[in-house]
Amino acid sequence: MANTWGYGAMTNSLGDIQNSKAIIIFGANPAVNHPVGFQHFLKAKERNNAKIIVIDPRYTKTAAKADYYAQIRPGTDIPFMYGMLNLIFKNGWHDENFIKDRVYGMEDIMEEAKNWPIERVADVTGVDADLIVQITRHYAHQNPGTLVWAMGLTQHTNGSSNTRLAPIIQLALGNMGKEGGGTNILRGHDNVQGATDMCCLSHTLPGYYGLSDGSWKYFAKSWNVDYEWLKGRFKSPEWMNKKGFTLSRWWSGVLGGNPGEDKIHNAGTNLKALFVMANGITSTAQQKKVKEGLDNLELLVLCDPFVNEAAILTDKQDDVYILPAATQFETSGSVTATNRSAQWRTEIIKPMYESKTDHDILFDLAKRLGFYDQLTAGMLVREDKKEYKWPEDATDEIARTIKTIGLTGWTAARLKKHQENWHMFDEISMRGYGEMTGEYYGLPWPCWTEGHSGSPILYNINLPVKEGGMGFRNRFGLEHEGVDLLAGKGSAPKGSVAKDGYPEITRDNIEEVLKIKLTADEKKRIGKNWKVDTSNIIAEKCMEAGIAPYGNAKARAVVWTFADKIPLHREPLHSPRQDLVKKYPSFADKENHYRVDTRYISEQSEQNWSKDFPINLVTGRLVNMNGAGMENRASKYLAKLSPEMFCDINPDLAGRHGIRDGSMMWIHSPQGTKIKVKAKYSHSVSDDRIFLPFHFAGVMEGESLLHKYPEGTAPYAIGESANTVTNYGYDIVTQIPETKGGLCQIERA
Amino acid sequence: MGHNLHLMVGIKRMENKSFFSEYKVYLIIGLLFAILTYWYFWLATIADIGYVFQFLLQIAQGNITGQVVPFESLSHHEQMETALFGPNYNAIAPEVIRAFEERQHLLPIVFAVEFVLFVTMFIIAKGRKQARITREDDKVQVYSLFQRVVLMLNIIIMIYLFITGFSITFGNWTGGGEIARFMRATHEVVGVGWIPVWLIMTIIAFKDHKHFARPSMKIWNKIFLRGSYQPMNRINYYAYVAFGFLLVLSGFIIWWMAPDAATHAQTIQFKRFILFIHFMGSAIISFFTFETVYSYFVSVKGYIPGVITGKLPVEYVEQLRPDVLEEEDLRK
Amino acid sequence: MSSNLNTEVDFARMKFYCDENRCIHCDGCSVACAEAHELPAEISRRKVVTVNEGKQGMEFSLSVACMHCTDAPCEEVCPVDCFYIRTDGIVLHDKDKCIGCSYCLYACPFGAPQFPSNGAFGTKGVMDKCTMCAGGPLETNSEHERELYGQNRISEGKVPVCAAMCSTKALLVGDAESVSNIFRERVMAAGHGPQSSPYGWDKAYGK
Repeated sequence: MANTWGYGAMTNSLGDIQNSKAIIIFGANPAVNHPVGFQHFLKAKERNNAKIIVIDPRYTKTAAKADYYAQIRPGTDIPFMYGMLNLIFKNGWHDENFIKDRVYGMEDIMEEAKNWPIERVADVTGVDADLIVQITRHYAHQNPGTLVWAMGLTQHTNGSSNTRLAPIIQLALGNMGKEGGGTNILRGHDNVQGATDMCCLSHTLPGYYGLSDGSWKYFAKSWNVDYEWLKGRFKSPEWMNKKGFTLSRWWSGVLGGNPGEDKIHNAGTNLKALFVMANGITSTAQQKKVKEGLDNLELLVLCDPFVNEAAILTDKQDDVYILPAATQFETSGSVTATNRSAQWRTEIIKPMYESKTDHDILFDLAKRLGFYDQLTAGMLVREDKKEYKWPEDATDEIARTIKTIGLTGWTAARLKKHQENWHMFDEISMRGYGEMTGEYYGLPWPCWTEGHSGSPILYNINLPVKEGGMGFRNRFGLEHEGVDLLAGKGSAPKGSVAKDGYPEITRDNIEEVLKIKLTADEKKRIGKNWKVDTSNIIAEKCMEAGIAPYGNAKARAVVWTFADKIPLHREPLHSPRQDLVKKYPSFADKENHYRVDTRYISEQSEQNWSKDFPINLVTGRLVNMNGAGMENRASKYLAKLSPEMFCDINPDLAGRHGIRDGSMMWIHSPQGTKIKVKAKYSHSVSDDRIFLPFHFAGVMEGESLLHKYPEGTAPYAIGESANTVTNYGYDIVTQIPETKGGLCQIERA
Repeated sequence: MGHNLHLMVGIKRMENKSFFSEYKVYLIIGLLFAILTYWYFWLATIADIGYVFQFLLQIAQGNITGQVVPFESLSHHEQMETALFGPNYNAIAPEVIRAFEERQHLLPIVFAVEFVLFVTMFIIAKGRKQARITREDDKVQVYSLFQRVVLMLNIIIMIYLFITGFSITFGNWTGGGEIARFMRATHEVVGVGWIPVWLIMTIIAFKDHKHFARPSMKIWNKIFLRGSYQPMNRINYYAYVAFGFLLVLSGFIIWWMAPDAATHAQTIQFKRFILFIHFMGSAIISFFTFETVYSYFVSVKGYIPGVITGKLPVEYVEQLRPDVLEEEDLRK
Repeated sequence: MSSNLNTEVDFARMKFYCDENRCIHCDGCSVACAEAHELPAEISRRKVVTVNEGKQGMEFSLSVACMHCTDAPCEEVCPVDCFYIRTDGIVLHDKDKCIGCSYCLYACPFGAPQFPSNGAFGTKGVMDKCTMCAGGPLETNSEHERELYGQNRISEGKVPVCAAMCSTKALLVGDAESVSNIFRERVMAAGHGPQSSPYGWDKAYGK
C-alpha cells in the first residue's frame, strides 16, 4: 500500500466505519479478531443500512453477520478483484474525475481487467458468477464504501500484489480520502502498529526511513551518536545498507549452506545467536524447520512473561535462557492503535518477582555489550539533560525524530492529556470537545507539528492540512514515462496556497511551493527536506500555508520497481488447480531475498502437488486466543473454551476419509511433516479445504512435549501447531509466509 | 389378604380350585394397575403423552435429545429455543414440576391410606399367624451365609434409601442444610451401591425357576432361596424386580449423567424423563415393599434370631413355611 | 385535600436481553463472569451457543444464563425452599440450605443451575447459578458472600460484569424498561445514519 499512495497504514478508523454505506471484507475476520471494534461494523449495518460483504474461504463469525458471502478459493483474490474491476469499468461505475486527478496508471489496470471476464473469475475463484456480479453492483453503487482486509490478503506469495489491487478498487470507485471510505486494514495485536512504525523490522530504520546513508546520518544526528561509530559496528560499511533476515526465515540464517537448504548471503557466516522479545517463534510457518534452526543455534534467549514455547520446541539443552519480562501493566508508554492513534498507558503495578520491563532488559544488555551510553544518548538531547526520564524522554525523542509519518506532535505531554480526557472525544469522528477541541483522539499520524490536530482520515482533501487533510504522498518522483505524477488541477487540500499538485517539500523548493520567503536565519537552520528537518521550520511553514509537507501527488496503480508492475494473478505455490498453475505460474525464484535465496517457481513446478495433497489448508484465529497462544492457554477460562487443537472439517470430506466427528486425524504437508489433531465437523468449510487454528504448541507430530516445560509453567492446554504443516512459500516483497493458501492430505488416525 | 392365601394353599392344596380363586391375587392387582395406569396416563397427567411416546421411539433409535422432529424443520425461533434450552419444555417439564409439588402433599396421604389398608387386613385376619414351638433346639439351616448377607444388605440399604429419599422429597420439613445435603449425597452413592445388591437379590430370589429346573447340588440352595412363591409374594417379587430395575436404571443415569452447561440442551429432556421414572418407580415400589413387610413380618410372626443365624426351628418351618421343607436336602 | 399522589412504589424489574443481531460468540461475557466470580472451571454460569454453525444465512449466536423468571420454576420446586426472589426480580438462592438435589435444573427452562461434581464418588455439590452479580443471602460485600456467590456488583450500582464486557453490546441487562428502550432505539434508528455525538453536542460544540 505504501507503494500505491505513500503510507501503508489503515486510512480511516474503526469508528469511521459507522459512516460507511457498504463494507467489503477480504480475508479478515473482525468478529473474531476485533470483537469490540466489530461493534462499529454492526452499527453501520443497523444505522446506515450498510451491507456487509465478506469474501473468505470459510464461513466465519463475520460472514454470519454478512449480507453477501463469497466462499473464495484461497489465493484467488486478485482474479476476484479484477472481476470486480472489469465490471466496474465496463459499466462505467468508476469515478472518472477522481482517477483523472489523483491516480496514475489506471489504464494499465483497465487493460488487465479485460482479461478477467466473469466466467473466468468464477472458474478460478470458485465463486458463483451471479454472486460476484451482485456483490460488485451493490458495492460500486454505495457511496462511501470501505474495504477491509487483514492476514487473508497478506499471507500469500503475492500478498504484496493483493494489497495493491485492493486500494486500486477503492481508487477506481473514488472511495479514498472520505469519511466512511478508505482501506481499513485491521492490525491484529496490541501495538503492532506502533511496532511497525518503529520498524522493528530488518529492512529499515524507525519511521520507514530505509537504510540509505542519508537516513543513517540523520539518525546519527538525532541520536547524538557518531555516524562513523555506527558504521564501524558493521562487518564492513556496505552491510549497513543491506536488509537483514525476517521473522519468517531467520532459521535459514542458521541452516543456510546445509544440503537441501536455501542458500544465504550473510557475509560468509551463519546466524549463531537469537534474542527473542515476545512470542513470535512458534507461530511462523514450517515449525520443523524452525525447530532445526533453534537446535543449531549457539545461544537462544527468550524474553516473555510466559515461557516462549520455542524453548519447548527445541531439543537444545545448553545456552537456552528464559528471561521473565514484565507485562504491559507493569510499564508505561505510548501504544499505537490500528487507526494510527496513540494512546498513553500508565503503569499500575511494579514488575512482579524478578521480571523486568522490556526496556530494562535491553538497557542491561546494552550495558554489558558496552553501548548503553550511545543507546540512551538520544533521550538526553533536548534540554541537554544529564539523566533521562523513561518513558517520556523516549516518547519525545521519537516525536522529535520521526518526521516521515509526522510523529512530531506526539509528545508525551500531549498523549497523556488525551489519556486523561478520553471521554471528551466523539466515537465516530474522533473530534475532541471542550478542552480537547481542535484535536482528534490519539492524534492519528501524521501529526505534523506540536500543535497539529492529527489526521483521522488519510488523503482527505476536503480538510485543510492543519485539521488533518492531505492528498496522496509524492513519494515516487515527479513524473514517470512522461506523465506528471503530481495531483491534478484543483486537487489540493482545502485552504492551500497551492491549488494543484506539488512535490514533497525540500529546502530548495519550499519558497516556490509555499509562495513565501525565508529569513536568513531560517535558511541556515532548515533541513534538506521535510523528512530530515530537525528545525521543524518546513512543517510549521507548511501548516501556515495549508501545504502537506510530503507533497500532493497521484496515487499510482503501477509500481515500476516491483516484479509485477501491476498486480497479476499467480497461483499459490501449492495450488489444488494444476491447470491454473500452468496458466498463472508463480514468480521467478528470488535470490538474496532478505539474505535468503527464496524459491517460487521452482517450488511450485517441482511436482504436481495437488495429486498427493488435494486439500486446501487454511489457518486462522480463534476469538479466545492470540498469536502463539501461550498466554491464553495458560489462562483457565480461555483454555476451557478451546482445550484441544482441532481441525474444522466438512462432514462430507470427513466422511470420504472415514473420519468421525471428534476422532483423531493426521494432516500431512507437502514438506513431509504431519500433525495429529481432533476432527471437528463444521459446515463453515467447504469439502475441499480444512481450517486449523494456529494458537497451539506443545505437541509435535503426535508426540507430547509436556515434559519439557519447566516446572509449573506448562499451560492448561497444549496441542499440535498448525504451522508444523503450513507450506513453504513467502511473499515476494515482504517475505511473509503463505499460511493462508497451502495444501495438505488428511488421513484417519 | 396374602396370608389367607398362604393358609389356603398350604392346607387345602389338594382341593380343586377355580380359575378365579387360584389367580385372584393377580387379577386384583392387575385390575388395580390397569385403573391406575388409565387414570394417570389418560386423565391425570399434564405431560404430552403423544410426545412421550415419540420420545421413547427416538430413544430406542439412539436419539436421547428429545428432539422428535428434524431440527431443520423448526422455525428460527423454535431452533433458538431448542438449541439453547432443550426441546419442547412444555411436554414434560410441567408434569415433573407438578410431581415435585404433589409428592410432598400426596405421598403422606397415600402412605396413610396404605397403612389403614394393612391395619384393616390385620384386623380381618384376626391378628397374625404364629407357630407353636415345642422343640426350640431342633433347627434347620434355611439361609446360607451368602443369602443372609445379601438379604441384610438389601434390607438395610432399602431402609436407608427410603429414609434419605424422603429426606429429599420432604425438604420442606428438613429445611435443608448440612445434614440434609449429606443425606442427599449419600442417597446417590448408596443407591449406586444398591445396584449389585438388587441384581443378586433378583437372581437368588427367583424361586419360579424351580418350575423348570431344580438341580440337587448342595451349593444350589446356598445361593438360591428355598421354597416357592405364593401369589402375592410372587407379585411382590416381580414388582421388586421391575420397579427396582427402573429405579436402578434411572438412578444410575441421574447419578452418572453429570450436568454440564455445554451439553445441557441435548440432555435435559432425557433427564427430566428419567427423573420422572425414578419418582414413579419409587412410589410404586414403596407400596410393594410395605406389602412385603406386611406379608412376612406383620401377618406372620417372624423368627428374629433366624435372621442372623439363618437357622429356623423345624416346627416353625413345618407350620408356616412347608414349601421350604420340600427342598430335599434340608433334613440331612 | 384530595390525595392524587401515586403511593405505589415503582420497583425496577431486572432482565437480561441478548440481541442475536449483535452477538458474535466472542465469549467475553462467559469468561468475564468466570473471572469475576472466580468460578471453578466446570461451572458455566453463562454460556454462548451458536446455532446452525457454518450454515450460510442461518447461523446465529446467543448468550444464555439465568433469566431470573417471574414465578421462577426453580423456586417452585426446590424441596428445601432455598430460593428467594428480590423485589426487582433477581432470583437468588441460599447455598447453605441447598441440598444439591438438582430439581431446580430439571424445572428450569434455560438450564441455569449448575452443579460442580466435586463430591465423593462423583456426587453433585450445591447448586450455583448466575446471580446477576447480586451476591447471595449473606452479608452484602462480605468476604464470605464473595467466596460463595461471587461479586455483588448490584449493591455497588455496577452493571453485571457479563453485559459490561460484551464486545458489541449485544447483551443488555437492567431494568426491563431501560433495556427495552435501548433495543427499541436501535430498531428505530435503523437507517437514520450514524449517531455521532451525545445529545445536542454536535449542535452545541460544532462538528
